[in-house]
Amino acid sequence: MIEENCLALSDIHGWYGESKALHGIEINVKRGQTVALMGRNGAGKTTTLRAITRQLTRTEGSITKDGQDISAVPRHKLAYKGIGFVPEDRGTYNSLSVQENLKLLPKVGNSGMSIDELHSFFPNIQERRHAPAGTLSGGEQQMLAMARVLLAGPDLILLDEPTEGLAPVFVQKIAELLQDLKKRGLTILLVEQNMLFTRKLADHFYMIENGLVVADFPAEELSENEELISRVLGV
Amino acid sequence: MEIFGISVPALAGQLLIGLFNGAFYALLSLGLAVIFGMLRIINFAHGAFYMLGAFSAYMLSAYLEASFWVSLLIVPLILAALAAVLERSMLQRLAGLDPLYGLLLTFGFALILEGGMQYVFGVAGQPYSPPASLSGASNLGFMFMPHYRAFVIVVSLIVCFGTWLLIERTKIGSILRAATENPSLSEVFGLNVPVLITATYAFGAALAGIAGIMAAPVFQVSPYMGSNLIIVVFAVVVIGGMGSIMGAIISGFALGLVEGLTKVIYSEASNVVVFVIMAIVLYFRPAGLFGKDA
Amino acid sequence: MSNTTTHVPGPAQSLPSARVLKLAAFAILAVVLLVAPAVLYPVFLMKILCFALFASALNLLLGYTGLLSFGHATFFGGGAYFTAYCVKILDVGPLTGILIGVGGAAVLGLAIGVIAIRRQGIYFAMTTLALSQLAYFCFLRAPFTNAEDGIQNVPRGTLLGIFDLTDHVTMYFFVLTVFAIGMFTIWRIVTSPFGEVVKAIRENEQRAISLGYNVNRYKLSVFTVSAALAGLAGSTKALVFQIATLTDVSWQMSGEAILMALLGGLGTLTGPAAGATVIVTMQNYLAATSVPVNVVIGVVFVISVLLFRKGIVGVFQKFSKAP
Repeated sequence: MIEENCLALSDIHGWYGESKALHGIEINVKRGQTVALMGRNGAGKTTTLRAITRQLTRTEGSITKDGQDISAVPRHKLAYKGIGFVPEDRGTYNSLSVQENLKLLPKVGNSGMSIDELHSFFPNIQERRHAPAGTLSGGEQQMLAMARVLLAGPDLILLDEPTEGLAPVFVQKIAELLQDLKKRGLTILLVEQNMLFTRKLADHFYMIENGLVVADFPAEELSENEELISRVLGV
Repeated sequence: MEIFGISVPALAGQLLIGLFNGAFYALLSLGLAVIFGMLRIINFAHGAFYMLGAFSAYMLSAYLEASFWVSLLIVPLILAALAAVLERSMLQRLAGLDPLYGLLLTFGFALILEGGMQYVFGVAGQPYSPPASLSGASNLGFMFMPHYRAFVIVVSLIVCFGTWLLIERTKIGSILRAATENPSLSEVFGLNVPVLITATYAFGAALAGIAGIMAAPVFQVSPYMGSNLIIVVFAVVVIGGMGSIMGAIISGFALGLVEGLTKVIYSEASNVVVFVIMAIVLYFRPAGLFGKDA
Repeated sequence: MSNTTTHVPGPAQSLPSARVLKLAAFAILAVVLLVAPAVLYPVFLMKILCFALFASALNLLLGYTGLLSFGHATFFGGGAYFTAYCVKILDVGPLTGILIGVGGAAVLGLAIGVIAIRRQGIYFAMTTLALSQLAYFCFLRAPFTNAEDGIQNVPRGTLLGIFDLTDHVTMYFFVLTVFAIGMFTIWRIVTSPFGEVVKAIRENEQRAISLGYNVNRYKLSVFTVSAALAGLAGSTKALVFQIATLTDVSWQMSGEAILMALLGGLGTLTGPAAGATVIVTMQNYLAATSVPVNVVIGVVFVISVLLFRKGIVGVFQKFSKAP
């Protein structure tokens, strides 16, 4: 039987130190889907990604990747399960050069892009390959963070607020890139506040409030849920 | 021939000794800096590792009749293995705690290792002779250059700059720097940070081992040979600032030279000149000469 | 060392029995200290008291302020040297000798503190260690310390012209008084508003700065007081053993004081004294055997850091606070 779910979170509880941030999250991400987590600041979206990447003080519940429980896999082996991660602050190593950043991550799969394809997508990265990553602009750092993960070749990418604080030209660029990745069959779990951006990309939406999933619906039902979205996002 | 009323051969001789001592300061402070970079702890056991390097060479020679050259390869491996065991079994448990605990734990290591060697060998120094091929000296015209001392300086320079190249210019170096900059994210990216930490501690200990075996033919091989030296090296590290590999190397050699020069000009102060410089540097530049953070 | 002592907010209306228990414990301790010389060798007891005070002085800095000084032997041994010299060569009385020792240690503390507080954390530790090594060489070369021999046969003298301190039991009660004064001083400091600021610096230095406190001035004050108290311990020790040597100013001595404070419980009032009692007793016992003392001390260090970071008193408090 082929497992349909690429990633499944079941009854996830998560803690930062003593304070509990997740109260039983349930999320299923089907293979090839782009899934968006929506919610206000502090609702638990980023925390959910951190629970998957095991960066919380304590996490309980089951996390499966391709049907295999990964909640007990050592943290440094998660990437080899085909999980790529682009954190909220982009996580570029600012003291390392752009090139060093790109070559750093171990190869975990082959579904990724070739270096040539990446260069055509990110021309500025190529030009500045000897510069320390810390000297790049925010948009360029986001490009670098995405390029770095794609080179490693995961089949699932966790993206945390990729457009936050970026100029429109970069937002456009990232949207194009994600469309392309979708076409290649990559699975994407996206945390994003920018509704305009998410609308065009996501196949399924999860609304998160106070560490819980309060609703989820496919993209086709987006129009029926406008009221709910407005309420949850508080716009 | 004289400069400032000091004969040139005497001056050159002292500078050579200074450079020779600096070779050890550089190797040891480099090891401390490498370990600090990754583990964020000061390895108080570094002087004891240096001592064990010398004792390992002595024991390899006394019991197994290993030559200096064979020992020069084996001793760093022995130290690396010992350090890896210490890191895996104990030091690792302190992750996330105040780095002062690391200092105190490694201080405990130093007491055990030094006290243990004293228990077995006593405080008296053990003899260790340099390889025959490096005995003797050359007349450079203005001074005599003992071959063994020249050898030590050259090896130290090669090891120091090799380490610098390894860390600043290779893939493995970039992985180490990445794991230093953001350990938890690096793990998510698939880097085995715990193993990198163990390897780094082992590598730093191996550097101390190299210093130890090279010291064996010149200094007394005794249990406490590293305990006073390490405090001078701490001062070197404070002067250089912990942030920089190159800073550790340059400060090591430079302070050795300054110490040698002091011996010529005002020999009573040669024991303390490094500490005095440290006090002055701290007063005017708290982050150290090459340090980035205050 | 912010994570060495967790601030457990005890119940506001502390049970009356807890208070009674505390007073009872204090009373028992006082009685034990008063009758101890009848049972145990007074010189051994005095050694414990001196080291207990030394470790407590260090704890004022380490446990309450969060600054690890690896150079406190300079003040302990410095105090010993100054007192020994004044009493033996300048022929002053024991009280004057001790006051000079304390004053000298305070001056040394001020001088080293000014430089050391420019760095924090591990750098502070390394700096104090290096500066105390500088002081070690100065003591080694200074004309009045007799280098390797030290100042020997220091007369204990007569206190206030009345009490003959050559008698061990009289000397014991003098040392006990000194110890009590030292501990009282520490208690007053840590319970004063000044002490509260100092603890705030330990918990979060940046916040203390943003609240407008001149953090460096506080640190320097504590450092100097801590040095003076370490000097008091050293000066008294010089009279007890009638000798001041390089051992007293060596870094191994600094390390022992840290171990005593750590083993007993950092940031607790009685912990360092408990730690000192254990270590001194252990040293005395081991000295008669062939067991290498340094190895045992090292093992205790490792165990304390790995398994026992709250120390003896910390563990005891945890049990007594448990419902």
